[in-house]
Amino acid sequence: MSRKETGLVQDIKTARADELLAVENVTKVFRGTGRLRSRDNDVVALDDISFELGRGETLALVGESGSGKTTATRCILRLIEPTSGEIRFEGKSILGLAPSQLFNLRRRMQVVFQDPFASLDPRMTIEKIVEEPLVVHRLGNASERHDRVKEILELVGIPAQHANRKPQAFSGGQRQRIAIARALVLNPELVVLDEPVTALDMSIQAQVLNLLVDLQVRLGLTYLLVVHDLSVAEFAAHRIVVMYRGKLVEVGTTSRILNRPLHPYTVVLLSAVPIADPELAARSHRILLNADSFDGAGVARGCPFRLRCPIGRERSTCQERQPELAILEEGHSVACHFPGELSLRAGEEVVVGATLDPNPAHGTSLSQRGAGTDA
Amino acid sequence: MSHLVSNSESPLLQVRSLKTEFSTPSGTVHAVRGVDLDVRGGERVGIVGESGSGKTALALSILGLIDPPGRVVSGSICLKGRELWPFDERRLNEVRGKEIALVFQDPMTALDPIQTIGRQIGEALRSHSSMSRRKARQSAIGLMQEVGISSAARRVDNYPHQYSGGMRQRVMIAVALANQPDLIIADEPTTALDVTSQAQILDLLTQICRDRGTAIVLITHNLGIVAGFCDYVFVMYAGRIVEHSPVRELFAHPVHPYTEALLRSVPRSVAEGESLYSIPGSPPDLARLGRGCPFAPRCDRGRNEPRCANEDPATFEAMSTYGPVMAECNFAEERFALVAQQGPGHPS
Amino acid sequence: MIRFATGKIASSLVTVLGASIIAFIVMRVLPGSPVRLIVGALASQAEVNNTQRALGLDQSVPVQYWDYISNFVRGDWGFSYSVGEPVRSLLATRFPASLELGCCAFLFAFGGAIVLAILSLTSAWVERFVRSFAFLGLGTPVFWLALILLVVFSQSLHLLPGPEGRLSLNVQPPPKITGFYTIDSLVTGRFGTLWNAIEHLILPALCLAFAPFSFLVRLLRSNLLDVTREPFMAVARSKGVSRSLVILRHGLPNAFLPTLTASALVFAELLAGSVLVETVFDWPGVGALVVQSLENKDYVVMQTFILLSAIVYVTVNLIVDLLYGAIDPRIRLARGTPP
Repeated sequence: MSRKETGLVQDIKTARADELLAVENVTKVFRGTGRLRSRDNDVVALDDISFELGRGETLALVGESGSGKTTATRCILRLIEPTSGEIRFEGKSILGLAPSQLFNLRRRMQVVFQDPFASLDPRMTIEKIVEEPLVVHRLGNASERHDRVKEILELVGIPAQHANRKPQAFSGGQRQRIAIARALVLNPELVVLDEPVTALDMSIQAQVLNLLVDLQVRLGLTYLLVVHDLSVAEFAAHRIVVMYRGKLVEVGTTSRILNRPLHPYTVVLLSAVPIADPELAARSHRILLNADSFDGAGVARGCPFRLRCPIGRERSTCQERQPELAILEEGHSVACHFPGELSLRAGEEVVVGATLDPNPAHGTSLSQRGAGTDA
Repeated sequence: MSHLVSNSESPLLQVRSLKTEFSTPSGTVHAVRGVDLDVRGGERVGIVGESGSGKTALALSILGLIDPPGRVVSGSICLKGRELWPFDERRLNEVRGKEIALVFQDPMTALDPIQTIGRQIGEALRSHSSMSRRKARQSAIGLMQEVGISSAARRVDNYPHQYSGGMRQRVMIAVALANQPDLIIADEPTTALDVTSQAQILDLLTQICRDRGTAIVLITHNLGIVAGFCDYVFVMYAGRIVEHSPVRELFAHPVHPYTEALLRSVPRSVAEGESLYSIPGSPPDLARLGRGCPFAPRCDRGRNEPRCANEDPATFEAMSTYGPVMAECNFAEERFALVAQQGPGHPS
Repeated sequence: MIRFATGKIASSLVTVLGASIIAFIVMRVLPGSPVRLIVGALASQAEVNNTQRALGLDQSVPVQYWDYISNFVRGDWGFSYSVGEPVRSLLATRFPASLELGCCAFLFAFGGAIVLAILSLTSAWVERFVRSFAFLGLGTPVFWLALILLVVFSQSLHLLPGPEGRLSLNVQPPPKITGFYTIDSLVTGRFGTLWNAIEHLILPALCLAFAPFSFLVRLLRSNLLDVTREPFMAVARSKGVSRSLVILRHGLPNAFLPTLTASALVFAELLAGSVLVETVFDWPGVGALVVQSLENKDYVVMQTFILLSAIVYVTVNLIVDLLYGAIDPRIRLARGTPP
């Protein structure tokens, strides 16, 4: 199938009426510095990615560092400019906007960052921090702003009488709530959450995740959630997009992705999630990737995952042709020449097509243990 | 018989009643309030705790790395039968990096940015031997290969900023392995890493334990990691070990209410409309701890019990199917009896 | 590294050219006629015109500028009418004197700063001392300090020589190789002269060093404190390295980096000579010469001096930039950072 005929473009064309955000064929290249042959130093952070986000939905962007998920959010938030491609918010392009239009757009898209210790100015009281977006957008007078700040702080579970304290007086979980309050004070429609609970302790993660889901329902929010931990995506997301080295490798609903992962990378990611049950953990099968020989410049031909792929390392198809993202079943797309071949099943040996070295050399190839696992 | 009572094989590391405190402007913070800990040779021990539990202070205390305004107040730290406390800096320098090695939490800040990787691994080697620079560099390459860094010979002269987080953590492990320690204490070694790097690092540590017989103490707040890695688990809360238990027993039949609450709050799939369990309240202020169980205000069972609020909790010890168990809880006995009735391996 | 260096050198050259233009313009703009100075107040207008023509002052400004630059590069720095010597030979004696004093002062300031900054980490007494001492350094008038030092060490205690300049009156300067009496006498084996030169250097250098020392020690101490809180210091200790070695090996080099730029500025300033100290100690340096030239509107000396100072500043900064690249691999190897 040619690219135009594959499902994904159709997906966007027949987008739901309640589609809020559409990303179309976005590419972002960071140019190398210095040398004449700067092409060698270019980093392709995003390579022709497309997905859409419906109103009220939570879409999780899952991938390791270097996958481009953070770059994608920065492009959507217009903090950096895509090299090519289109991004639409409510059907209208957000790339060619005049400064005043962009300014207004920002009210409708907000962001919560990963590090609650770095994202709040230590010199400002939390009242001032949460109020700042209102001041910037010149909304309300002082007393109206004060009321709104109070309202939003209560909503996230911070008692309003603490509003005149500085961030240092609060714990990590509380600070993240304050960051969420700040993101919500303008009543946005889309909230981008960049690893919002990664820096938090496990029980606090639960608190903040509960809060986020609760607020989504109450306020009708749409979330773009960036995570590397699939268990967070499992709880909070409706759909998942898996990214690897700037490309989309698999897109689907949460239950599909977690129960029937089709791309080998997704399978590996799933197998890497720690299981909080010693019995299951002992029986589980973890597929380990070889240490990534770090190379930021990207891969010229073939599938970007081929060097680490348990089934693609020895295959010429994977070495030579880049797989396109194709719909395999309703709402489930994958970019792989042999989707579904690598799988983990309870009680079975791993089903793999290519030859695998059963005796891994020191740390530089796969290691396999045990029998199957429940995904 | 408690895990902590010495049997025929005396433990590699035996910590008793360790107390560490920090003087801060808002008062004395008691970070470690009388901790007992045993690690046997070749064992994989987990210390589970969240922020403020004192777990990092505990790790640093064992190696005498607590600097003013903090200090280790009292206790006993016995390594291979020899007492380390009171601290003697010279003796400690012999122990550090050679008998006990430490792997720190954040690989991004754990390396000197202006020295090559090879030099920094070599430093560990040369601190305990009179190795030449050249030989140290060769050994460093070997160590890097062991921990799975490809093209080690080329990379040994690179600088930290040229490495990714996962690779830097491997370098830290190479540093820890350099002098073949008996014990490696890893403080949240994977918290700053991606889930795939996390899996690789844990696998590496398991390999080290298996191949070299090195004991590993893994400090983490992630119960999933503990389940897959540790043989024995210590749960830390507010500066004390509130429960310790073999790993299977801990997950199947947690005795202490905090352990149980932690297990319940692991993120996972829930039914539509349901939320994750989260422990109400927040950890106590370690500068203002009085008598009574530190977990009482947040405890489902002990919240309204005057006994829990006013008296130090009772210490309960028993033997389970998998090994000795201890919990500091007034209700431990009845909770343990309850799950014992259900039989071994029955998920609670 | 070479790419890095050539880039820096190129921009330094541009800076120097800029300074030369400014020097040139400033001197032309100053009121007063230098020609009058040369020919005297009683000369006729015709003589004034002749002299002007002879000096090339009747040419257009760009031509004059071109002459100035091309002569400078060739080594012809003009003739000082107020002093009566070619500028080049004039500066050739004066500059090394200031340079030697400046270098010595820098050594005292920087060396003292390192020692006290490290000590202040371990000793509370030193720490308190540094904190209060530093204020004094930044507020003490340098000439007052010079006089006090002379009164105490020279007049009362007879430990060090008085304001005699670079050497005692009965001592011959060593043969000129670098112009630095210390180096020249060391190299030619005249140890008596060497000692004498050092004795004469001590008080004025201390004087000059006092303020920069105060500034540097506070800066270095604060940087050291920051660095000791970095995790990699604790990691080094966990390898079994002793506390002092960790500070020397990991703490100082990392703390140096932010101090380097400030040190460069300090050094450049010291090199440019200090009028007050040179006057009190009768030091035959550039400082006094400059004041004289300004009074006499001796533009030839001035424009050469400004250009030379610019070159000194720029060179020092260039060296610092290159050192930065040499010490900090992150700056040298900008590429290679993982996304």
